[in-house]
Amino acid sequence: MSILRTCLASLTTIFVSMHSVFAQEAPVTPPDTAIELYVDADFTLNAPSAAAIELGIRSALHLSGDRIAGQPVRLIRRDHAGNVRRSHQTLQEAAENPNVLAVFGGLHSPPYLQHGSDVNASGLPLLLPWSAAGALTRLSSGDSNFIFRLSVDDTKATKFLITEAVDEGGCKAPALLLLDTGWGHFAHDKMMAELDAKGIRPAHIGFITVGLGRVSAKAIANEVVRSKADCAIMLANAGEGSLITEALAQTATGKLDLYSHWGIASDDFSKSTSVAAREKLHLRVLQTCNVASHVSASDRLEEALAAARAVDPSRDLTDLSELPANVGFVHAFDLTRILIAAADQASFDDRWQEGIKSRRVALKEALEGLHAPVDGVMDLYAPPFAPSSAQEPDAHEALGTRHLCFAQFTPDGRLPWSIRTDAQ
Amino acid sequence: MNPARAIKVRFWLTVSTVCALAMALTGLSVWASARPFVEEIQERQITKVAENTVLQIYQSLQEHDLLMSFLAHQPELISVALGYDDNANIVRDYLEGLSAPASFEVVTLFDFMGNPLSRLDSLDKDHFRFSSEVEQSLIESTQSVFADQGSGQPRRPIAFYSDGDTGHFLISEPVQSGGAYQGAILAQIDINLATVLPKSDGLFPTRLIAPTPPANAGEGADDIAAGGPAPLSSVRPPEDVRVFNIPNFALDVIVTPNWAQLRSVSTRLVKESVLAIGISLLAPFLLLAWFGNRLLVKPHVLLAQQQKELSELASVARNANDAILMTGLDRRVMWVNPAFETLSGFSARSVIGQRPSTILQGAETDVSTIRAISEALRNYKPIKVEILNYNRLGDRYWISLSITTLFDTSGKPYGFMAISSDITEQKLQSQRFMAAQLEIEHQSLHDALTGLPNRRALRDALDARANDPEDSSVTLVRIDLDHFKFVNDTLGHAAGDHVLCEVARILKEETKQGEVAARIGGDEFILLMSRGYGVEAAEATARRMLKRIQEPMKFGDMTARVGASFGIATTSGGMISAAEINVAADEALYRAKDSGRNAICIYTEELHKESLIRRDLVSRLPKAIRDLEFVPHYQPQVNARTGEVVGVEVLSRWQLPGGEMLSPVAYLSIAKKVGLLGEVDSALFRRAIDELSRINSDRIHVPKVSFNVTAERLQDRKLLQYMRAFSQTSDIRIAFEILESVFVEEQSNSFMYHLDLLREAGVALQIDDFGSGHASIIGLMHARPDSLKIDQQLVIPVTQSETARSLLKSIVDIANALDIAVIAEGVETYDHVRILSEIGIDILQGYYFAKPMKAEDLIIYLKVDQAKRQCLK
Repeated sequence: MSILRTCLASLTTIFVSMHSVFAQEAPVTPPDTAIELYVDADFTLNAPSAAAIELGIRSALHLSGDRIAGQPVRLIRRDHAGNVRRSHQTLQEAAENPNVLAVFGGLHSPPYLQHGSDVNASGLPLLLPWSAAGALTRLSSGDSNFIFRLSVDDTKATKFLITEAVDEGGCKAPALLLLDTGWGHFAHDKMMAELDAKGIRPAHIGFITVGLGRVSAKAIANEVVRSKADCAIMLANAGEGSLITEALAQTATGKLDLYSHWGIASDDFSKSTSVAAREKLHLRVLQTCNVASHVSASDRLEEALAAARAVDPSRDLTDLSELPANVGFVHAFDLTRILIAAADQASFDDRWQEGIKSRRVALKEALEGLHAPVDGVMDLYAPPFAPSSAQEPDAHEALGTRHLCFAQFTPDGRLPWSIRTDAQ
Repeated sequence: MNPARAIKVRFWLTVSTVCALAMALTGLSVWASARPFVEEIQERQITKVAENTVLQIYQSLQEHDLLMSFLAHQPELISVALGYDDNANIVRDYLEGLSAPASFEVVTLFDFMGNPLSRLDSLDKDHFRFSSEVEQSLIESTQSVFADQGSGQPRRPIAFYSDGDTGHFLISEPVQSGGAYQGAILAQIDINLATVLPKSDGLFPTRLIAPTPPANAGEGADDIAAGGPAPLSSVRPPEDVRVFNIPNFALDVIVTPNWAQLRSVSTRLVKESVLAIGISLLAPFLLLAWFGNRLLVKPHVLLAQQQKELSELASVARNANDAILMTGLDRRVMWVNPAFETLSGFSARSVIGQRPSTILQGAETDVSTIRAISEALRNYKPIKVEILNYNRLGDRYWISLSITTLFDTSGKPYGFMAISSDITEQKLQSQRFMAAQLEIEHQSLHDALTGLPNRRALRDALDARANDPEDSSVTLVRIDLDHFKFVNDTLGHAAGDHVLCEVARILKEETKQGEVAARIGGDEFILLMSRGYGVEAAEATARRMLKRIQEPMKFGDMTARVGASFGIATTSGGMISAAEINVAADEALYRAKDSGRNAICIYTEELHKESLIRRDLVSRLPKAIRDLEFVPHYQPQVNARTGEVVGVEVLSRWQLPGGEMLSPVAYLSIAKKVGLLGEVDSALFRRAIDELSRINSDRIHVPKVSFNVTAERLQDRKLLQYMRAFSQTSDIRIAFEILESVFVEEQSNSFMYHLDLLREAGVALQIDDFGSGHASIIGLMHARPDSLKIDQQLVIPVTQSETARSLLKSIVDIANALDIAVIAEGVETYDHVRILSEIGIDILQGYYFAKPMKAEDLIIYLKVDQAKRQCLK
């Protein structure tokens, strides 16, 4: 008996020691513990876009009973206020949080451009419903690429902008007005390449300082007018975009069409920009569109709106256009549905139970290889993502050029959701 | 205590009390008000010191803060803070480009989490620099303050540490983008505190602390400077320190006043202020006391005295026995006292508003008095009158009325006051008195019996006449009734009075206007002629009067007859003066009497001369008596049968200083008239006794010496005593010769008594001039004389008249029957001697024997006589 006791004790000690050795990653969240999802967005400076994204996530989660893979889910809001470093901190925190399964990004790209490598290194899936920087999903590849996007990256957007302005709009001397950030500079390169390919030199290239004032906006507008540009292609946030739009409208004497990235739609642009200015410049805003082949899109949209009404009754959404920054809502809704589907799929993986890192890996892999298509508002994703590689630079891009279109503000300031019928 | 003293005591007590109270209250007030004032000044000083410090520090900090703010808004820095850029030298690049002030020692850009992104550090290694904990704390505070921007204008957090004179400040500036906190810039600034903190004078020690920032409110005591070498901000400002916020920065200037020293200063200041104010108050109070004493107390004392007097006067007025009435200038009654109501019978209510003249004066009130009163009232002059008033029942009464005008203090008249007293009784008494006076006056000037003016009235009239400036001549008639004594003696005094009244009536009827007829004695009257009437008129009047006086006067069944003698004298002509006229008239009257009565004699110049002589003698008499100028002359008395000298009669001769010898006829009547006869007799008696005593010593014996004496002298007790003594020591028999007329006039018991006393004293009594008067011999016998001397008027005729001889014979017979010796004087011839001897006369005296002679002649005479006798023997 004593020998038996001694052996049992020894085994216990060994077990404990082994457990200690192997228990390097954080333990898996117990089933009754909520899985946490972070939404790292700019709830301060671009609150409507962040709110639309959050609503889209919550609406999608609502449709799944606020559960993922059978576990309750909790969405935690993190406001980086446009600060790369704060976002980085959030990502670090999330990576270290054993309950966090994935992080949703916000509108901005710089936080993830700056620290995307760290994200990939941490193995925390980062889901970007609206960030446009082209490099984001391509910072890494293979097993180490944990960044997924359901939006149109700027490589495609800028190309689309140039193509539409020059080819469709007949612009001969475009002025490029770009936010003076990494995003703006990245776009600058792409646009210049596109223009160069078309043999067009931009009449003016102006960089818009973040948080610029009215005087600076006026100075930029003057430069544009002096350059005799016949159109302007703008990459800016709502605040800066509104000032530039008004300044251009006041300064322009001749025809000056304005093509803008959806960055301005992230905020209450329409409220701070006069209808006259918008109409004078024939302001057209790039946005993603539903594709006409997606027959269930309207149903899915209604379903999403219903979920949104349930999640946030105060909005009482009946039409998507009533929602500011509705692109974010739709993208986030679809991306969340993809996440739910992927989590459900991954939960069957053994790694799902091994630890949070393993779970995240399982999720990543599930995202890259969903067995079943996911029916979203934008499209029927079948599948949305694939394992990334140098050969498949768009593997982590759920949308493509076919999802791009231009929309124009209604006089009452709404930006109607449109369906692109020519996209295939 | 009298009111004046009480007022003074009250005044000084009040002034002293008020002064003391004022000083005390002022002191308390100053103490109460100055202390807060001083404390306020101290507070202001503290505030000033602190605000100056605050301003200095604020300016220094603000200068740097502006640069910090500039930096924080630079896009490049914001991009770094946002993470868009990783330029670690961005701060240095900027500050170098800006040529930042040297006081910017350490400037660091922190991201939102407090991680340093870019730092410029220009400090030496050993130089103080804030720890990272302090930096983090400040960053947190900055972020917290940034988050609370909506709740106001929060103070900027700051860290502070001082080492010596250097103050190290760590200030922060949030870096924001689009209104969101994106990081912070921290800068360490070193400031020389000596330039910003006040110089320490020990009163207001000043220092700085950074209070607990709001961000650490949950921690409470956490301090942003906690990491510094000396956590100053852990010092909680106690209550007795003053904390001043530096604007915009969470940094406080702490002033810890030296309260003990400040209190000491303020207490000394307040005490000195109180003392100064107290002293300065004393002067005004002394001035107040002086002026108060002059302007208030003295008038008040005067007023009090006046009030007292008025009160007493009012009381007196109410209780006065005199009636008091006050009117306004309209002379209508305003007030009366009870005495007035009693006196007038009018109630006060009934007379108020009435005019006193209307209600009190009536028909018999003297109009001139009323006019005088009105005049006085018009002129506001006092007046005192006696006036007849009427009371309510209409009864008259007299009052003594004094009216004075009432003046107010400014001298303006406002009414009248009448004081009256009832003098009705006095008035009546006065009237009675006046009547009595008049009566007395009348009596004093008039004769009670006849009603004629008396001697006094006459004198007054004479004086008045004599002093008449127009005509001072006076003519006087002096009247003396003849035989009036006879009427009295025979018909009684009533008849005499009747006669006098009748005479008076005649005088009244015979006198004219302006003439005065006066009775000046028993039956003597004087008539003063009126002005302008002289001797002739007087004589005519006298004759008319004499005629009527001589007429029989009926008195009952009896008829009285009298006559009258008139002496008239006048000053007209200047012979006599008015003062002499009465005597002159008297002289004339005597002359009329002497001339046989019922005569009128005028005082003529001749009479005047006689009078002058007589007056001269009268004036000499006293000296003559004194100088024994009366020389005794002795006339011997001889026994008719034996021829023997039995005695001598001493006769008086006045030997004037010039040697002239006056006979008794010339002066005895005058001496008698002036009352000096006794003196003359006495002088003569003494000298005669002396001489006779000397004669007897010469062995010449004079058995009896006879002296003529008056009735008055007989009753002289000195003479009696002398005679008693003389009879004891001398053998000379003294005989007093008394005129028969004396026995007729003096038959009183006293006279007889004195005669007896003299007889007992050895004096022989002898009736002189027997037969010259009307004395009855029976009556003479009552006096039991030793002898009687027959008047020479009876003796001289005996040689020629049988009747005379018979008469003498009868007298001798009676004398013999009564054992009375008979002496005959005036024996001038031998016939006289023979006849008288035959008749039986005992003793003879006359020129036949010898004339009166001086003593030396008498001695010779007696010696010759004695020799003749011895020869005869």
